[in-house]
Amino acid sequence: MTGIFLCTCRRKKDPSAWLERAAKSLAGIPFFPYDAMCAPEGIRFAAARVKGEKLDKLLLAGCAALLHEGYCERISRAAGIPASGIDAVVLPARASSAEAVRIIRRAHAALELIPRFEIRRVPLGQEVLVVGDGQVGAQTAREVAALGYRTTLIEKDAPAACAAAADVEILSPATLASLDGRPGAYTARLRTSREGERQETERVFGAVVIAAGAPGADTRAAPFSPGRVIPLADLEGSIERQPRRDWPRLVAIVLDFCVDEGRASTEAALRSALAVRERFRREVTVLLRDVRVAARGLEALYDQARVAGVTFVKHAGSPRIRSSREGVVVSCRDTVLGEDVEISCGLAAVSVDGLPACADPSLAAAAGIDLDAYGRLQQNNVHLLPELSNRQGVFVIGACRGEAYQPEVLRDARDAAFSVHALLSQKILKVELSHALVDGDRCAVCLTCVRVCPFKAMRIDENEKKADCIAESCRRCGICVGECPAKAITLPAYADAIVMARAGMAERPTIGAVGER
Amino acid sequence: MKTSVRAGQITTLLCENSGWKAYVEIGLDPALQGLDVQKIPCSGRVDAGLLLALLERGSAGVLVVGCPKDNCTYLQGNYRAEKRLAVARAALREAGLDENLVRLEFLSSLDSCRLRDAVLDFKRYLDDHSSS
Amino acid sequence: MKRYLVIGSGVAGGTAAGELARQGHKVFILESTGRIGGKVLSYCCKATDSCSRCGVCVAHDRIADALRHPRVSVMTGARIEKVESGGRATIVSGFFSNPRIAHNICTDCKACIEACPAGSISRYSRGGLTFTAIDYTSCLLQKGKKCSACADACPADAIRTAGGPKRRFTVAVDGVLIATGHETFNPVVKARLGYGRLPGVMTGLEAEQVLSRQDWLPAPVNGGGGDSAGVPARSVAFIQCVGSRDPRLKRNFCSSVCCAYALRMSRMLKARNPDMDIAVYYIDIQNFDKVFTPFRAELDRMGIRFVRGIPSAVARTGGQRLSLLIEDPEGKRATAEHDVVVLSIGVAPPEGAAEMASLFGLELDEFGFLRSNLAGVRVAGTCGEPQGIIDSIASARAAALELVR
Repeated sequence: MTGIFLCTCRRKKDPSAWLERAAKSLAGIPFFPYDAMCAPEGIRFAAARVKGEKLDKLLLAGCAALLHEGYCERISRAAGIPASGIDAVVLPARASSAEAVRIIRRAHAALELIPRFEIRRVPLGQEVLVVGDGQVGAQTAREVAALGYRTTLIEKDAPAACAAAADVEILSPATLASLDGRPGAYTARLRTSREGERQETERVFGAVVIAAGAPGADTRAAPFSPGRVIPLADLEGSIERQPRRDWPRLVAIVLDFCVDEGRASTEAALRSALAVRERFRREVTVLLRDVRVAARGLEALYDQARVAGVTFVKHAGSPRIRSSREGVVVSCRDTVLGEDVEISCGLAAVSVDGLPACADPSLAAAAGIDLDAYGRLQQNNVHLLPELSNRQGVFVIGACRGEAYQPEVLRDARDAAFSVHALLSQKILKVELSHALVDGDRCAVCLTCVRVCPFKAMRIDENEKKADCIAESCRRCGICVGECPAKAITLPAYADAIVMARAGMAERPTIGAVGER
Repeated sequence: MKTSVRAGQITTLLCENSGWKAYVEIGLDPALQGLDVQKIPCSGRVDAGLLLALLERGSAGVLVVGCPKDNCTYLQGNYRAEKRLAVARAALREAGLDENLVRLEFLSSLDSCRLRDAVLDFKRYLDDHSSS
Repeated sequence: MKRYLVIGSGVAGGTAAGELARQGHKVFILESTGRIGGKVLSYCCKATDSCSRCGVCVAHDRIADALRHPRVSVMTGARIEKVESGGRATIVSGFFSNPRIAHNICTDCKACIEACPAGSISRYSRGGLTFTAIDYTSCLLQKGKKCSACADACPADAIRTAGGPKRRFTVAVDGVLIATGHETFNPVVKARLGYGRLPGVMTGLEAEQVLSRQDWLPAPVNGGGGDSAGVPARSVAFIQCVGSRDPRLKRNFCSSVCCAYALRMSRMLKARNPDMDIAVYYIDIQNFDKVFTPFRAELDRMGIRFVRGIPSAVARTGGQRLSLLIEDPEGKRATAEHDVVVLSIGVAPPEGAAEMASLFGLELDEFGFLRSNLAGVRVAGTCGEPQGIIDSIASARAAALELVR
């Protein structure tokens, strides 16, 4: 039963006559006026009435102070009624009692249609899966293990490069084949290979952190040419191994070849340029669109490179590289000089991050994670940045999600570990069963909802032959409700009938498509 | 003769993450008094059928407010809403009705000013195009 | 359950406090001013129909989460006087100012605002974050008068004035997070740019404040300083790197945030005012978006002009406009005229950084930002290094991990 709490606001003058008329109009509905609903005493009053009259839903009517989430949380806690069973309406200051009653009745009718939801308590598994053994994957695994979680790290290339940490189980070569389930109980199918034999095992994890590294580009295709145009990462190796006499007179380093790169590439270019200049006394020209120095120490490094005599050409984007047996010619528009330039050099090192990445969609598909426009493992949505994915409990960090600059990525590793801890340390997740419900009679198993759910909360129940919503993963957004071609899905707290009732309309049954429920 | 549309006849569906937060701040603005507002979890909750049902049953116009693109807390909802609004508008066109009876606004939780402007602009449009 | 002290109630402090409280810990927030929230509350949303990922809305959510949580206690007008280490705990003592508002009880009824005889109480409400703040510089109780009008008027009993204008506190905590934010570079020092002298020259922070209320920038009219009631500027220049990447000012670092805010603001301005001319004068554009190239390309398509070269001087023309002097490497000079010039000022260490460092045994880096080698005292947000909102949030969580482990 819904109780209506009307705030007569002690700061306003004499509401009694108004109140009397309102009370008469609302006869039969539990109706409790109080002069300070926003105050703690108002909350206590509501809690007492809820207990005394055995109310299970609250409608608050008064000023906009009652709309605030903080107030809703407080009254929800005090009265023991979930937020889904509480609604608040604003009564305009000079509303007549008739108008106020009309507003209240509408909201009351809608609230009556909302069921009382049960709470399910689900355990949160204390095991964590980390994908990727790079510096950041290893760091995350160590942090998570140090917090007491049983941590497993998988790496697709054997042997795993990271040092074994005492509490981290390392499996390699191992890849993720699929990830089903819910936060706190993700079932991961892992493909491992031992002595040439491929095996698949299923393991359950509470949370997953993906640190799979940069997608990489094809270094066998243009503009690369062995010995003439090499990946920038290979230049570091050459600096270590190649003697001075084998270095050409001029070395070019090219960044931002197709897409803008970040600080990691600038830092790598500056360090390599300095090394070539200082160790081998060769001319070095760095061609890039912009010098990315937005991090501690990078401006100083840039100054150091300039003082050492490294030349910088700021191109307008899309430089062209032609290589032949004689050498390499890099041509571009120099935006500082405002003219086209050509640089002839003996060796050009091109940063691979400036090329469009060959995104491997298999990990994204396996983990159920949506990609951004660059093919990286995280949509470009501010609510996800920096370490969340579209699935709660599955985190993404590092170059695989779009940030390669190591100091920041290591910080993201700590951020992800903290988020894992925030989720799993609760041990029990209290889930209100207000998730999307599928009507089996209407469901055509068209898989639209499965495809459309951003959180991978829909799956097909083979036995019942219908789609089924995983309560723990469902975010109650209602996207599936709007998308289902058969109108087979409802979000119980926001069903069409409730939306219509709130708008003051009765939902009369119609035969056919529009609005039928 | 044109009659002014009562604020209560404009159904405003505000997504809880953007429109609703923006509304709460200006809820007591006299120009918005009596506006028929309700909170929905996401602009992606609405579908063409719901919008048309609201119009069919007495709404003078339906305004849906969602988050800016790529700002949706539920990631895809506002893109979905955009497509559904297009479907609703096409249906209205086919029925010989004004497709601008349904409108979708993208704004963030911080943009109360834009919400106010959007509501008043919609009301003005409905006033100018209503028939009694 | 542990106890933590968070110093600073802005993006980083608010994020850490809210998350630590949600994990079951008790959190004290110390805020030096009378208003919580820090600089981010002055920033504008930079969305068009699509988000630019500036993070201002997210920052409001994180601070609101902290303020609402029952395990978070906020002390405003606060100063730290002593810090002692007692084994695993750190004992911090100082004072905070009265009247003190308990934000997690306040119901935003505005009774205190109406009751205050000095008009010292204001209300902030944006983006789902609502709170009441006291201006301690004009508060009568702070001036020594015996006033408790706000506390008396509050129906929720959320305001306390007992104990006089300054109340001492001593807390023993398991960890401290320093998130005292930043100062902005004051461009008055770069006299040739005309800030504080020429109407129509404003800082990036001032542009944020104006744009959080309206979607145009005011051009100066009749020689007076433009204010929000002015005429919309038809031509705006953004000058980047003002006070950053500048060895002569001993500020030889990139402030990280200026390209982000200038370009996002430009995009928003241009989308709302398609006929506006916007030019960005820069040295290098720092990328700030995960998918940056399409973002930058969109700005080019919209007609926002990027000019490689920082104007060396700004002057007034005869016709109320501003003339920028650009000298190229060969000494050739050119001028460009605009109505408004926005100086994209950089980030500086917070006030009191040296004091904070000495109280807690921290270091300052070469530019004065805070660094900590202590396990129980961590640094987050812009007081540690220049960074944007999302990075500040991440750094707060990363620092919180270091405190809880």
